[in-house]
Amino acid sequence: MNFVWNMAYRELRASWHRLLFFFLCIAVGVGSIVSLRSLIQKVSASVTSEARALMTADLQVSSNNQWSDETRTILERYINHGSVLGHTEIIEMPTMISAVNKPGSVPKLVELKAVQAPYPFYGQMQLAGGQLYTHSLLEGQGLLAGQSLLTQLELKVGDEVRLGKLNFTIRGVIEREPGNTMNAFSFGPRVMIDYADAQAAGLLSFGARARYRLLFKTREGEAVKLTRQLRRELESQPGVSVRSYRDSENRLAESLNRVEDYLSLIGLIILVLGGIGISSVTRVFVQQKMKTIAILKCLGGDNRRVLGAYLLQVLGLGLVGSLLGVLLAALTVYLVPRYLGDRIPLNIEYRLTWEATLQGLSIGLLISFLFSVLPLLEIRQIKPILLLRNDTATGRQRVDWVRLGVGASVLLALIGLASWQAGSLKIGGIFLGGLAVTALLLSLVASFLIHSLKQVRHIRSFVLRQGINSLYRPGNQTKIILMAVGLGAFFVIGVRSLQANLLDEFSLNLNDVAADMYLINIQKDQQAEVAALIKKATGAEAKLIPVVRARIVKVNNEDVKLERRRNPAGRGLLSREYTITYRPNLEENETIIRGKIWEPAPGSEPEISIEEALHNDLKLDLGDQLTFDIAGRHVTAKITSVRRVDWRNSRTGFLILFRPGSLEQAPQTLISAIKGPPPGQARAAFQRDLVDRSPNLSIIDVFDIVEVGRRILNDISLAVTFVGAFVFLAGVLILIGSIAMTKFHRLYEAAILKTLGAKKKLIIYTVLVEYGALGLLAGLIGSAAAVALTWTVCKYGLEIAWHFVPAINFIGVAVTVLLVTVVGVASSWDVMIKKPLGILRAE
Amino acid sequence: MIRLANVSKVVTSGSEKLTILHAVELFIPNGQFVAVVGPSGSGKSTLLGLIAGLDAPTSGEIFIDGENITRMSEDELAALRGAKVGFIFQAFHLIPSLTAYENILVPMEIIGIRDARERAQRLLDDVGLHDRGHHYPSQLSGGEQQRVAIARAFSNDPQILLADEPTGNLDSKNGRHVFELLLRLNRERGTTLLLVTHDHSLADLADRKISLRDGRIVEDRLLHFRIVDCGFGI
Repeated sequence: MNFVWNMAYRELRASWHRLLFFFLCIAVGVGSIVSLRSLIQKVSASVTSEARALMTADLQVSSNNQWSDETRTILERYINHGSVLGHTEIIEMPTMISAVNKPGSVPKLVELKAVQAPYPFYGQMQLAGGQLYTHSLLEGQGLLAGQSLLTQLELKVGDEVRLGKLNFTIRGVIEREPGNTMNAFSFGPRVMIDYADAQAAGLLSFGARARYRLLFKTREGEAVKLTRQLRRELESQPGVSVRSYRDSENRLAESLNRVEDYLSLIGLIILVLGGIGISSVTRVFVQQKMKTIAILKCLGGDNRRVLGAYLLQVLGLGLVGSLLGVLLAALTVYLVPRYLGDRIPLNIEYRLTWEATLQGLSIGLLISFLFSVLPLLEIRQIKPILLLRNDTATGRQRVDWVRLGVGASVLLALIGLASWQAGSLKIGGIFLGGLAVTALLLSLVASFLIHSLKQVRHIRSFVLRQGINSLYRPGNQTKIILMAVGLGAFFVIGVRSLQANLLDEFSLNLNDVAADMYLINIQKDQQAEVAALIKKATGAEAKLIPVVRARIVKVNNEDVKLERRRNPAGRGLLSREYTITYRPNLEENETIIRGKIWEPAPGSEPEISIEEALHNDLKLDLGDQLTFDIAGRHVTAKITSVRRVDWRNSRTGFLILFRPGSLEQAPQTLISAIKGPPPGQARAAFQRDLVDRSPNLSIIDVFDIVEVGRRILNDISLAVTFVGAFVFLAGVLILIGSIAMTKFHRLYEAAILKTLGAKKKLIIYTVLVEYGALGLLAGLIGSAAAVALTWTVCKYGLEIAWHFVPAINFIGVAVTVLLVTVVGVASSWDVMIKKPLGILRAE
Repeated sequence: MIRLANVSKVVTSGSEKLTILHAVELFIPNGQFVAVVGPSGSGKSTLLGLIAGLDAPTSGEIFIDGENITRMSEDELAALRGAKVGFIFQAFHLIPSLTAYENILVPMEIIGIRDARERAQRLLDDVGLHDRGHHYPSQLSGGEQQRVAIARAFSNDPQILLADEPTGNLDSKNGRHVFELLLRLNRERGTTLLLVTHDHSLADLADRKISLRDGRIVEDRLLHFRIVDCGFGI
């Protein structure tokens, strides 16, 4: 054992720098796994410890409607329950806000939250400048807002804004708000006012899309029991849901677990790629160490010990690399709060967790071992006789069972590792399979390109011929480099192209969409005024559509039992609230696929037409009867037709359409989808007029939504590009490693060429050609794969039009060529400048 | 003692079969210094390689101390070399990543000798490289490298020392020096020495001179008679 340790140590001392990139590969992979896992585990821990702060209470009851009398009675009973220590009510709704005394500014859609005192029961409101939150800030038409609103409307603390019929004074800026976890997808900035003011401002008029919440603070340990009781009592109340902080904790913990596992797979991709690099380096390394190994065998070293010495070296490097990775992770985790801290709504302890660190270290070691063991087995084939004779061709034709066995074990171990990381055998298998198929395809393309390039070897120019010939140098890892760098280029180009396609889809639609502004919640008595304003601003006759909000309570006279529904899409369709309308005819974007549309005259019996989705997912068909709850009144209607709505070419679309005659008297509001004036003065003035005259109506400006969508898309593609960059980096590391490994060949060749009269310039050109060609091939592979990926995703995944993005592909290929050439030339620098005699003598 | 019974070696070069050794019969008693001479390609190095178990004969058997090494596995052969055989090459074949001192240490570490470090230092002194132990092979001259190789070959007290043209890569002064060192250590320790050389003046100093041509022993002459440890006489 002494020998194995000493030998490993001494060899490492001499050749660690040649294997430098080996542990960099490991470090990058381990670093990403450890940092991602640590962060998410800390988030999980914080979710568990702050679950109550996320809900800001122990228990909440919520509904999309104002409490019915029946519900109110039940709730009152609980408010006075012995286990309840306190209660408070909240309303959340989207609404329009506009600046007072600022003509020309555009009204904005905001996420309003109206609260009573005390709020919050758990967690803390954080205001800018260390201002302390008390309810008195809100009382008497005070308002708190997120910084983004102030920026958008060019407001400051002390300014006045208008909400509904009332003016409010801005009294502070919200920095962080408990319970507001994922605000990336919300329509607008947060605004907080007093509960009583919300009612006074007339924001809760009929039809407002508000969410009503009643929060309870309970005695320690009573929340779960109370939730169960409340749930039972409120079961019959439509649309009322009851949740304890434990429910949200569980749900969050579950999804965080899944996120953690998926993200770790990304780390694993980087590690596996690093592993491929390791395997190629180890192969070259063993080739270079052939003589040393033969000497050791000649001096009495048996296979077990010699193999042991080299395996120990690899594991040593793997360990150093993994430790370096942990250091990298620590640095990342240290930097995250500095750049992203304010986007994360939780108090997270930014530190590595032991669990993640140990996992990262063991995965790093395992990958080093798994990917180097096969090339290391070559050591067994090295015969000491090569010290006397140079022929190494000794019978190797026999089946090497050890090798096969080890290969199979490596494969099994990798599947196990991927499954462990993914938290599921199936996903692990799919992941590895997908990786293998990708690698195989890339390898086929690489082989094809390398083969095609062979034709150029007959070219007249010496520089071109020599440069390209170099790609076929023995021990050159041309194919592996092509695969690794190509994979990185593929990731980056693919993601960028996909993003470009998506953005184009957005902006294309904006230019020829039927409507770019939606007015909702128009009251019946405002109809004429709003129509006139629209006519004035757009010149077109306004079309106001009456809408009624309804919920399905019975199907064919049977109560809806959600639990019996297996199909989750069906369950969603049954439990949701519908916005329905009535009209005598079909719109242009609608076609009947079953049954037939009613006569235009109002019918005496309620009749409905359903959209295809309901027919497919709920198995509803002609003749079936649906009973709706419309503001407490039940209406039963018969299905007489099934429609298909072309959602892409529509201003509006309705899943359920009534025949005129039944809903005219139901409580309703109106909506309008219009093509407003182009962004600018006119559009702003129009929106302002609308909100001034009808403070309760909401404007959804498609331009704003597209902006939000674009931002989210940018964030996502930035994240994926970041991962792609890591993969690319791993590819470049493999390139550097491979160059370092074959450096002696290059030095020798260059020395001979120089002796034969080649000038330094010629050598440089040759190297340029070699790496230029390599970069070009890798870039082409990446670009081709990216085209294939984006086409497939666009056509089958997103179902949007695909188009080739020449700029991204061109830049991608160019950057790859540049990077590979620069790295190649830099790593070969001494090949070009060294004097030939020393090198020839050394040989 | 070494015994070769009817040993042949045939190699295939391309599609051609080449016989390097033709049914060689040879007996070498313990402690004898044998010089093997012959032109290039006569099979000298192959003979040495076969005796060291670096390669297997095509037919015939080789015995070392009565043990048939032709039936041994690679690992058993390695163990045998570690215990009984030292080898010196024309091209030195030191491990480039190890210092001179460490190169000498390796064979002892492989078989696990307890006082390896002291012995390695003593051997360095013996070959006159007292203060160069921390140098790497690339920092040593050819003669110095070969002296390290000699120290390495003697490090685990082998019974048999095989030297393949040890002075072939050295100038005549250094060559003479290395040869004298080899001879002195050999005498002191009573090792069986098989020396392949082109240099007839060196060969004439041996106890016995064997001439090879085209894979056959064409001459086997006893030059100096010494009392050597063998069961039966010469």
